[in-house]
Amino acid sequence: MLSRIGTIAVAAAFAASPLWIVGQAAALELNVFVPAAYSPSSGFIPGADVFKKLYAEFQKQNPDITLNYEVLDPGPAGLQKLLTVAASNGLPDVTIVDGQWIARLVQSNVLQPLDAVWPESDRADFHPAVIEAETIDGKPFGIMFQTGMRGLVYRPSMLASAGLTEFPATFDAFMAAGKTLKDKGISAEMVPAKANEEPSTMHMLSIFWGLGGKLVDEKGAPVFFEGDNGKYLADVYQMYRDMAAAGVMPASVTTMDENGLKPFFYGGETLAIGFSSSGVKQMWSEMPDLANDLAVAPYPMPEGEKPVTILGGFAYALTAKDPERAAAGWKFIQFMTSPKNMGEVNEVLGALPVRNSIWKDNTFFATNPMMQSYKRMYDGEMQTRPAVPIYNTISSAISAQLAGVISGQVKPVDAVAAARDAVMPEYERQKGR
Amino acid sequence: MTDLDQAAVLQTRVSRRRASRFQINGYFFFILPGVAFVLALTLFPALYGVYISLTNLNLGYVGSSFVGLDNYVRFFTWNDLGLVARNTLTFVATSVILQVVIGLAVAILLDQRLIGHRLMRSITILPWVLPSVVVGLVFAQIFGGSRLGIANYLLSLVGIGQMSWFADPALAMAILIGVCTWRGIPFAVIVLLGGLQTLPRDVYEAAAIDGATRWQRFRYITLPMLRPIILICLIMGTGGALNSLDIPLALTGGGPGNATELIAISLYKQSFLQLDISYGATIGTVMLVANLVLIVLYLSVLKPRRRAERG
Amino acid sequence: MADISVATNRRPSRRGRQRRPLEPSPIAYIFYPVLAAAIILPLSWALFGGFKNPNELFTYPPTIWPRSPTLQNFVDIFTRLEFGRYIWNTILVAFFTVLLTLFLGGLAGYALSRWDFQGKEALMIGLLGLQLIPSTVNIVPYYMIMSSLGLLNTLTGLVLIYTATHIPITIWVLKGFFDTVPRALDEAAAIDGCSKWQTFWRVIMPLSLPGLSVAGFLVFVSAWSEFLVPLVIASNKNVAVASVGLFTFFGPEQATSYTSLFAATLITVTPVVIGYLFAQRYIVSGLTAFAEK
Repeated sequence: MLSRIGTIAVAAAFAASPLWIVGQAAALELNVFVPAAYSPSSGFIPGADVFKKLYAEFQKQNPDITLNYEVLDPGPAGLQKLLTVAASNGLPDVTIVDGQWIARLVQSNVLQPLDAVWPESDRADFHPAVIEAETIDGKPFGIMFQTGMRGLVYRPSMLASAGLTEFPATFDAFMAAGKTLKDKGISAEMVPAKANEEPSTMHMLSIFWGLGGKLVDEKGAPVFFEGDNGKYLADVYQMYRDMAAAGVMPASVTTMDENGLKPFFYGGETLAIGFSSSGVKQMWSEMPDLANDLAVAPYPMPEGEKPVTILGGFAYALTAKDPERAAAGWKFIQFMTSPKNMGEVNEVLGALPVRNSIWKDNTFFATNPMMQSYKRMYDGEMQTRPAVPIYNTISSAISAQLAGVISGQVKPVDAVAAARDAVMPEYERQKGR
Repeated sequence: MTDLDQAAVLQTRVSRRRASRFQINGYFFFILPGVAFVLALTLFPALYGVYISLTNLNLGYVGSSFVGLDNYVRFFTWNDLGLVARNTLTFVATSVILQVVIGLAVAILLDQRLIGHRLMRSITILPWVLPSVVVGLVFAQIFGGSRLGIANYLLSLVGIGQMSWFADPALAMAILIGVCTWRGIPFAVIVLLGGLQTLPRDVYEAAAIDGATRWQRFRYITLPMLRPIILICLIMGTGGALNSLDIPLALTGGGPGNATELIAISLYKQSFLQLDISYGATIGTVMLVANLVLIVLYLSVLKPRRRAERG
Repeated sequence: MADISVATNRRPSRRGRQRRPLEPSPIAYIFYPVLAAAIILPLSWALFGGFKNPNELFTYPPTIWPRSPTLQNFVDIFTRLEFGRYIWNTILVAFFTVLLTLFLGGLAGYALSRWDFQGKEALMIGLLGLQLIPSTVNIVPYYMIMSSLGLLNTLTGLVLIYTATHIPITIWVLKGFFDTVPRALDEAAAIDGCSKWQTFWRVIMPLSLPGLSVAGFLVFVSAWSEFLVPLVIASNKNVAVASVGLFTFFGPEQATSYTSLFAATLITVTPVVIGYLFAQRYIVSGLTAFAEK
């Protein structure tokens, strides 16, 4: 608050002095909202450094623009803030948004379409699912600059010692391998299954989508329990139960989040853990011998279908309506999302690229074996989670059933019904708004 | 309740001077800012919370409207209400009783004034000084389920196999209660030790002359005379356990499934994970009522004590 | 931290008056090591964890004492993770909370000590009751209030809430202290032409440093450890305080090793434990004062 008063005082002094004419001619003030993690004030120092460097570089290239950034909450408070400032004409010129917010913000007329400024040729460099995720009514409204991927992280050396050369792609082959491992006292897989934790649901979703399941219909109504969707969800639950019943996966995963699985993995108690790409760099620093002995595999599927990787991340978006400001804003977005700068940010933050050219040209992503195994997932199908408010409820309703299913106390079909019963009253309530 | 709330317990002294009729004078303006501050950020939020509970405010949406008692209907017909109420009751009752019983035992131990009792007292009080979130995080690590967890390692030394501590609902609840008790004992010790030291010597001397055993003296002198203090411990402990969120959140987060979900965890999850602020406020209002009962109980236990003090 | 607060009604203690007979039973010594172990062992594991190499936590068998002690974790949390910022935020919040609370609580406590009016007891009891409304109940309204004041994710918001929730206890503590300052001083000051404000500020406050420091310490420790309020209204990395930093930035989703967590834990608890050791003097006299009631 003090700083705000300070700014006003400075602004007042500035306005009162004849100098302001010079000031106005000198620079356009470009206001940008960014989550702290993607700004020079990041709590992760190497991250802060790379953004400081890039901002300074942009400033140097564009002396006619003064860059002002303000930190935006990456959670729901951030979305609320954008909607609120839009109502009071306080919008910035550029903002970073969670991909999940784009639909809401476009609906409230906060974001400006990028179709006129963003060349087709550049769009072609992105994974089609990325473009699709940020496109509404045929127009793109943001440029995603990174994603995280979830999959089964394992040690190739351990796989080899179990007599396998490749990670099993079908569920049956995986179970067979799991039973061999079990005899050695090793579990084959551990995925986080803690209730009400988003990652628990995310690991399930890849399989569910791969089977052909859908969470919501075109209108955003929950349909994950209906017809085939319900059957697919029950199938996923059944897979978890089968693994637990056969001792291929310990039932205690229902108390664990991704970080809680690491000791089992490090200690050699499990072949693979469900993990996020964002934690890989940390793994390397904690267990240096993993640097050359780490790979990621998609989830084994019943009939060898391909699981669908979850795509998700933050995107740069344009909010300025005034042509001059919009032009300056676009310059900034273009600068931050250029293959070179975006690749640098991806590498430093340990996030995965969404541009084909970064996967190809950035040495780290192009040569590191672990990154190459992520690339194979990137080359497959990807999809974003539905951007509807009811999603939160669906996600926690689905993960809340895992404990019962895995322990065998709840049958998969009943778990689907219970999840439905947890979601639908809430959906009716939300629809009534 | 925070430690500081608990601290308020011990502040029971109200001096009595002849009171005059209230008349605004200079002192009024000394009192006003502090009291206004307190009202604005304790009483007002509590009332505002009641108001929010009557709307459909949700962080996923902009705007809200008045929905009457809808949220309360939803709360009292909630499928898991029975489970959460049972969990909360088990958790609160067990941890409070353990805190007071163990606290009394430790207080009596320290009251013996053996050599080194001061050092012992410092050590005993230590858990209370630690930020509770630290306590939660440390014990979550100690009870890690892999063989690398220190608790599992200790078990393996005595030849017992690996345990998944938090996977079994009863065990998870037991650990939760144990850790909260560990953190809560010091408060009980401080209060009870203070109480023990007020007990008059002559009664014990008389009892000793009459040939009362140690146990008889404890049972028929110490316990009855400590009753108000024990009552205060029970009430404050109940408030502390009912509202505690940091240790449960860091330790089990309500899991496995919702087997250790407490009412305070539900409030947090509904408000800030599901973003259903108004439903969270509804749970908060229900908890407010429970707290008001405790506050009234507490103040009424204090009152006779204050009277006695003056007389 | 009730133990310290009871110190506030301290007159010089006359320990031993009315003590019941001390019949120390040496059997009790058996329980000393048990009690000490139950408290210290879990903590020491975390304490020493801060000095281990990250991979030592993940090698079997687990150790308590670090195999090759290192300070790298402490370097890391300050250079790679900016834990220093969280600590600095915590210091700022605790400091301004103490300042504001002592000022407002001192003013009110002084007035309540010097001014007798009907309903005074009700007011003081009422304040005590308000203090007992837990932040768990008020957390949703706090979020909404701070959001509408634009104070979400600011340290100012935290200071305001902490101050409000700590004023009642401060009033009680300081009023108890002011009661022991002779009224003759006020009267003398009045004869010298001091206003009430001048008397309070120039005469009473300087004399009350011991009481102020006890109350200040209490508030400081409590503000230092506060968790739920900052978790909800100031979770952004820039304004995160140490307790939130520990929970959020070392928790799930975060790429941070447990050895760093332990190192950070050690740094977080050090100020309160040191403060506590220094305040022991007050605790002892406080317990005695309480005992004399």
